[in-house]
Amino acid sequence: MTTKVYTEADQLRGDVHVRAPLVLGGLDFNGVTEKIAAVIEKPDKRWFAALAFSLALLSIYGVCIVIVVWEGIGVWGNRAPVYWGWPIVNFVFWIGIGHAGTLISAILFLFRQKWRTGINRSAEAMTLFAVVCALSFPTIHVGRIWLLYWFAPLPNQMDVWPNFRSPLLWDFFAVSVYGSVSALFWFTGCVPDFATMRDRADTQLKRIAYGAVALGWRGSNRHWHNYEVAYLILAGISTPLVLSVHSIVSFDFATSQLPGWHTTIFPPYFVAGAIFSGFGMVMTLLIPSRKIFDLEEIITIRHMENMCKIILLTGTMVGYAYGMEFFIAWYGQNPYESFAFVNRAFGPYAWAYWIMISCNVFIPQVFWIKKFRTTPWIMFIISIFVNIGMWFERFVIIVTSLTADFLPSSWGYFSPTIIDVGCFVGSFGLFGTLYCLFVRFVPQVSITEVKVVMEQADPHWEGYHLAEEGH
Amino acid sequence: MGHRKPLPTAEEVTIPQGHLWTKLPLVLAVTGVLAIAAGWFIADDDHSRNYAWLTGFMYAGSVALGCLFFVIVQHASNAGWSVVVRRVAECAGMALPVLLLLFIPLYLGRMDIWSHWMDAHHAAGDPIIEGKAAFLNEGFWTIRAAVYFIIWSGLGFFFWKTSVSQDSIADPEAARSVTKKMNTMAYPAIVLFGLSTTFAAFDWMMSLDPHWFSTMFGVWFFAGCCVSGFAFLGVNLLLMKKAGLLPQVNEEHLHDVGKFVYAFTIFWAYISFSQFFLIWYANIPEETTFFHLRMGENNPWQSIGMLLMIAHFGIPFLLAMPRTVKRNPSALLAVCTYLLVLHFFDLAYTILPNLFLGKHMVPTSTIPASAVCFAIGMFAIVWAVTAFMHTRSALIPVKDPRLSESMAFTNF
Amino acid sequence: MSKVHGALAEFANPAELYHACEKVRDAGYNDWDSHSPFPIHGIEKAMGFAWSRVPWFALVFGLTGAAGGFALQVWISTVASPLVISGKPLLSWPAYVPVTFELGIICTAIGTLGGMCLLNRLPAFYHWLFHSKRFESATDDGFFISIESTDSKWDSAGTSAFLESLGASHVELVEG
Repeated sequence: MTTKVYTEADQLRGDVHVRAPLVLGGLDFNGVTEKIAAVIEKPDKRWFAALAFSLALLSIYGVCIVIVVWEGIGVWGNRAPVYWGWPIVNFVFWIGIGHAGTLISAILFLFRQKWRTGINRSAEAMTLFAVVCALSFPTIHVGRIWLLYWFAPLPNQMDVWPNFRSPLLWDFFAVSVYGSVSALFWFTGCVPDFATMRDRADTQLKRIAYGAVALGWRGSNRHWHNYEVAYLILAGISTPLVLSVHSIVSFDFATSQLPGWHTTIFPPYFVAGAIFSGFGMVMTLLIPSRKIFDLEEIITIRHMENMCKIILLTGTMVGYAYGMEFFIAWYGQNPYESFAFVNRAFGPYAWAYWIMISCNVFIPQVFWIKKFRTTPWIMFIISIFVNIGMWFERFVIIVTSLTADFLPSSWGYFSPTIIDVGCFVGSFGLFGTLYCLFVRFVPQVSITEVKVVMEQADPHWEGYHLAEEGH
Repeated sequence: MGHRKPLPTAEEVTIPQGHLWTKLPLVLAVTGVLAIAAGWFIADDDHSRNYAWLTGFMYAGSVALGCLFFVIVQHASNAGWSVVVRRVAECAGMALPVLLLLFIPLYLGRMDIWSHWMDAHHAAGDPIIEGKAAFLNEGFWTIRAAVYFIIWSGLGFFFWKTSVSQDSIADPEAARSVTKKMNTMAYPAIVLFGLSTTFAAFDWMMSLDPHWFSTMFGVWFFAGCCVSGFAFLGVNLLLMKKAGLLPQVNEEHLHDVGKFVYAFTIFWAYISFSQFFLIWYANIPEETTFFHLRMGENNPWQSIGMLLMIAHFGIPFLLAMPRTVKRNPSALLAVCTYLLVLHFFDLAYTILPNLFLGKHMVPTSTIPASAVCFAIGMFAIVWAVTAFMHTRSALIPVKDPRLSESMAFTNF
Repeated sequence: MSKVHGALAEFANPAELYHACEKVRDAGYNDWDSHSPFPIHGIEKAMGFAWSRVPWFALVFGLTGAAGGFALQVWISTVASPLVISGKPLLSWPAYVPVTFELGIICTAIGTLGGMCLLNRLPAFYHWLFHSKRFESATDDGFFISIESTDSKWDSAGTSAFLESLGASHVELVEG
């Protein structure tokens, strides 16, 4: 029984008839464990540098939050007529990024896309941290953060209950449920890997720490069966959950009557945009980290190529939605609606609009060419464009519609303050810090699931039969 | 997989001479013609006949389009599991050219159906309709309709023809390049399909009320195509199995087809509800006109709307949830047939109320009756073409390089 | 005082484990299990146990969550705090759909994971198998069958010999 050693060249030659291998370099089961666990057990110097940088940014965020809470939200650029400025842009930006992880875990799982196993763990972690960043913005945006509990359906001294007809309350429920379910899903996926780390531990401290979170997992196949069914159900419910969360975020805008906000395509359009931006961020993180942590045999070029295809698909769907909005704004012959769109494309924010269109619709089209889908540095650059484009999409939607609505006398131009910039830049510090801690303590690729997609994992694999027959 | 099953040859998966299925096309075609004739004579006048015809046409068209989309998606995602069921869907794509014939009465009746904007007499003095005349005018509308039929027939023919031509290729390398060709073609096909179905939905259904608009409308039509097309595929597969054909299609494949139908039923509900919900919530007059025609205490469409919500979503959502339902042939057949019936109500709810737009007409039971007849008739025609194509080639693309993967595949 | 808890046999790969499981099943053992670093496809057939009951937990929790969520909103909007907002009726059900859905989902997730843990009797920080040093590779690249001494067919020597006859590369009696 011999296992073929696959290389990157085998994958790139990959044809429709042969399923290109997902694990390269001839790794066996133990090899996969060693490769992934090594990232945790032998920290890289560059990791300390990344953590230090993230902490520096995080401290900026900390300072800005203190100023916002102390002084009030007037320190932001939110002025009449734009009371929803950068904080809500950042909220939608981060929550959008937080969609790829659960998409990869759930939807690609249901579609039996085996390549997801190389990337799902880090994408799910990214989801969680993006949701944390997203939640931080509305939290400070309420101003008096000590009254945050008013969101909860609790009786209070004024006998006033939350208004369940308010999209903002739905948002609170949607994002909290999404964060909780993503965390449960992610943790469930981690349990067998924590058991692996427990059994490899070289110190008592690690043994106890990993042992506690491994819940006493012992690889029992009776357990695996219930575990797999539970995982399948979680995937099944997470799929509509992912769709619902960004749909509900879109309701924040679409239930209003504001031109440019109220349009029926918003829910699926926001979902497509969220997946698009989430995959952009996954690529931005994974391209350097597969290199730094020597994981190129597990997070292979084929994984990267498939992500490029999804970016191309969702980018094109976003383009369809932009086109549809524009077309219907004209077709509807509502002068306010038409004006809102002409104003977006040719008004004072035209620069932002065309950044959005270029980054989200035009630039990803290069992924039609295979060369661009398989060259990491090109993908990296394009993924950065995607991140930029999706931030500008939310900026364009929120700010252009608010600056010029029905009453020309109250039109204005929005300018951010230094605190706005500090909060936005600082939120990357929060994200980066959490991500750095994650790669240091949790296996950043699912050890278990990578093994499942190896051909030796199938008890009916040909190699075993050949061995039995004495070849 | 270790236990390789022997791959079928083209002869083994061809419908034998004199088999029940070879008689199906004729039976269906006769049924279709009779039902269409019945619908024609049931209708009270040209106006309601035209609308009923449109309902039937969109119904049959969405079924064939859904199957075409199924084929495109399987190629684009390079899916292995679906090889044994794909040919059945490819054959339904060949019904798309035939739809052109069924479109002729609509073309002849265009001045009546779309009179609100196509008829200059009607449109004059309405600034909103005059404003969109650059898009909604007879000439451009005709050109667009031609483009849709060229795209659909072209795609349907391409994917069927290329796949069938592969059956007779002995050289594996050459067969592989044919699969590769369809894979490559599938990506632009998605773009063409998306745009053509969207604008067809705008042109033929949304513009019935030229004042009303919804950016979601194209997505709604797409969702309906998928539900009905995939359900149609399921019905074909299950009946074929009951007739002793396609032993290669096992419960694993049925499970997957069932999951597709189930998922798109939920997607349809998501899209339809979101469209209603946003219009209801914002309550803007130019949009609520759509639901004004369809809701209200004494409005018969109110109950159809409730029916759609409960019967097109609630019931199948709960019924088709267990995996045993999707893996049981009789249960899945029931679910697919049921959804095909409900899809008619969805289209009727969207199209028929426009009959009363700006006209003082008395609702009669002959209107839905003739729409049902047309829908059954045109559906039967689409099915007849599909079943006829089934007899023209092997039922499985036997030279597809992923065939062994498809036959060995198991769900978790 | 150490006690023999059971026997542990190691196999070389998933295929051998799979075939060994079929034989243990056919030999009529009840208190036994197999262990692998990842789920093995189709092993429930080789081991002969029924399909999981986790979906029932999911269904019951999910329906309860959704129904409870809807009832909560109706009660708050019509009884506890009746306010007319944007001209909508007090019981405007479409507006309650998003939160109903979200509460249904979170309860399903909790029910699924709770049910999985309950059926698997987890967390369980002590298990007799953890006495075996060799068993540590069950989370890396080891494939094991364990038979507990509580089984009615248990017999130290006989069971070990039986496991060896299945082609195990190593058989040990776990004490502790």
